[in-house]
Amino acid sequence: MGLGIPRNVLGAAAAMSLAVPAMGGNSVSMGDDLKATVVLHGFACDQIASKKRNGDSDYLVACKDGNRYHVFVDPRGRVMVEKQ
Amino acid sequence: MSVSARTFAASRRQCCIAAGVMIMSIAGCSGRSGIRPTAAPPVAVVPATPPAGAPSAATPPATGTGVPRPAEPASIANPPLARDTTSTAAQRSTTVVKPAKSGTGKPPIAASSAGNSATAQLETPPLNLAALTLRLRNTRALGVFTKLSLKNEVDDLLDEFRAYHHHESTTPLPELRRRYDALLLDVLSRIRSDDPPLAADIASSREAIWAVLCDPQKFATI
Repeated sequence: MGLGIPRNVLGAAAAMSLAVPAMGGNSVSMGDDLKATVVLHGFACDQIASKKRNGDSDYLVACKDGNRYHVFVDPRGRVMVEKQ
Repeated sequence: MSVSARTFAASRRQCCIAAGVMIMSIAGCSGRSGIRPTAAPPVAVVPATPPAGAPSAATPPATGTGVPRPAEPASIANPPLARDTTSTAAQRSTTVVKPAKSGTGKPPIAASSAGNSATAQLETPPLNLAALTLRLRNTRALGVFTKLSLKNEVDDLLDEFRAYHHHESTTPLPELRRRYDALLLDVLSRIRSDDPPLAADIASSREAIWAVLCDPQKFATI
C-alpha cells in the first residue's frame, strides 16, 4: 500500500508542508523584533545575546553590549521597554 | 573622296554622337545627385552645412530666411528633435501651445498631454489610508512588537493632532511636522529592505497623509 513510498518520506513531506506556511507568516525573527523594539524606544542594543520569555508578550532581553531590558505589553496595549 | 575617308568620317560622327549622349547622361546624373543633398539637409544636415556650405541654394528651403542661420542649429533645428523630455515638453507648452489649440500641430498636443498626465501623477498620488494601514499591519518586514510600538507612536501623534485641532495643545504645527517626518522615516527605514513596494507607496503618500492630518475636517474622518 502507499504506492511504494516510504513512510518516513511521507512524514517529512507532511512536516514540510506544515512548516513552510508557518515560516512565511513572519520573516522577522523574534530577536530582531525585540532589538528593533528596544532601539525604537531610544535604548541602545547592538545585538541580542539572549532572550527569555516570561509570558505572553513579555520578554527579558540581554544585549551583547551588556544592557538588559524588560520588554512587555502593558494592560493598555502599549509596548514598554524598561532597562534592568 | 575615297571609301576609307568616308568610313572615317562616318565613324567620327558616331563617336561625336556617342560622346554627346554620354556627356548629357553624365550631366543629368550629376544634376540629380546634386539636387538630392540639397533636398535632404533641411532635416538633419543643415546644422552641419551652414559654416561651409553655399548660402544661396541649400539653406533657404530649410528656414525660409538665410539670415538667422547661425542661431538655427542651436535653438530650433536640433534640440526639439534630439531632446524629447519633459523639460522640452514644458518649453513647448510655453511656446507652441497656441498653434496646437488650433488643431494643426499633433506633436505639441501629445507632448503637453503627456506632460500634464505625468505631473498629475506626481502631484496627486492615490491615497488609500485604510489599504496602507492594512498592508502595514500585514507586512512581514516588521515584527509584532515593532508593529505595536509604531502603532503606539502613531496613536500618540494622532492625539497631538486632535489636541491641535481642538486648540487644546500648544505644540506648533512645525513641531508636529517634524514628529510626523521622523515617524515616517522610522517606518520607511524599517520596511525599505524587506517590503520595498509598501515603502514606496508610503513615501509617495507622504504629503497626502500630511494634508489629511492638517485639515480638521479630513482629520475628523480618520
